[in-house]
Amino acid sequence: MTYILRTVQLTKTYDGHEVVSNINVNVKEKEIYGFLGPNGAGKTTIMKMITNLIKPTSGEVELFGHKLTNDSYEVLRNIGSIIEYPIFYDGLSAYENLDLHCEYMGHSDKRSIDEALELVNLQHTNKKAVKDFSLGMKQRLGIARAILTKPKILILDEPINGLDPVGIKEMRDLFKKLRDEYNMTLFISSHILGEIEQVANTIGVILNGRLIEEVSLEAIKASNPMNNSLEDYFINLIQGGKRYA
Amino acid sequence: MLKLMRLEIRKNKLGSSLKAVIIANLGIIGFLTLIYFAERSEGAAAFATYESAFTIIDVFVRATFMIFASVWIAKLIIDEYKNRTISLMFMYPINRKKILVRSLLSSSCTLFFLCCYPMCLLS
Repeated sequence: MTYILRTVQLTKTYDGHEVVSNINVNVKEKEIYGFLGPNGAGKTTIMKMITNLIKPTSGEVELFGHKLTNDSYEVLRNIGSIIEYPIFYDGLSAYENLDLHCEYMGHSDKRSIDEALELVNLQHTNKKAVKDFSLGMKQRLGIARAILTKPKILILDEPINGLDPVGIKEMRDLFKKLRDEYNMTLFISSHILGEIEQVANTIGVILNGRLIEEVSLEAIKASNPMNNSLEDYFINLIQGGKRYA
Repeated sequence: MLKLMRLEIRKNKLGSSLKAVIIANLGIIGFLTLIYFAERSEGAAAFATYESAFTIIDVFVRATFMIFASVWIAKLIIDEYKNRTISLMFMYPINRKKILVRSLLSSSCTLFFLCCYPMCLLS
């Protein structure tokens, strides 16, 4: 089995308080991994450690078979990400922001900018500055930027926040397309369980900084054929056994 | 590093600051002209020597571009942290020390150019 992303006993402590404890996540190549958990469970902290934005207190992150260190800059070339919410140079247009991204990533194919804008339906924004975009448009632009250089893995923190129902469906189709046609691996966190259920291959559930389950969606459905919705499974998992604080 | 500095100037639209520099220069020229005519009306000789002329020009340029310097440094460095665009920069495959150095260098180089330019122009 080829794992594109692995965390081994990943732990993060702030002021003596352990916010992430011994997390072992295993993400296979070309799959969509749904990362679920209530607010404050530690999802964003883990994503920040994976993208090398913060250092783990202990444990390690392995990306593409290599251990991530403080100097692992080149590995970031193969990662597309949105962490927390998309950040842009607000005074620039969508095209200019993506053009800058290409320059910083060392990506010379400028045609991919138009292609990415078209994939997220932002091809008609012309010279409109990003500061005038709605939250949904910013979210789409964030996804366009993440996929622009065709990275091997996409790390998306709540990517469908702020999108309308049509936008959510478009993003769902886009995620499937990226996996099936572009062979990308997606690591997505979301609160919208119905959406994750429709796209994910594997689910990881985190609660109070601990990974309490990592299971394939097929296994969830097979284990309870009568009531196999992810929502029920998730709620049973975090509330059953009085584990939800 | 030069490429990073060029990108820095581009994303912060520092080129558009040139307009502000031209306006500041015109203001300084206006003041100098005013001093010249005021002195002349009183029968004194303004800018009698090159040394006195350069001293006055130097005072005006230094005062004006000290304000410009404060604004640009705030725009380039403080805004990067305030708007959290620095975390975006840290996601790029670029050495983080280089990212911080290019911020300081691009602001210093722009300021140096913009301060020397009016001095040369007015001299």
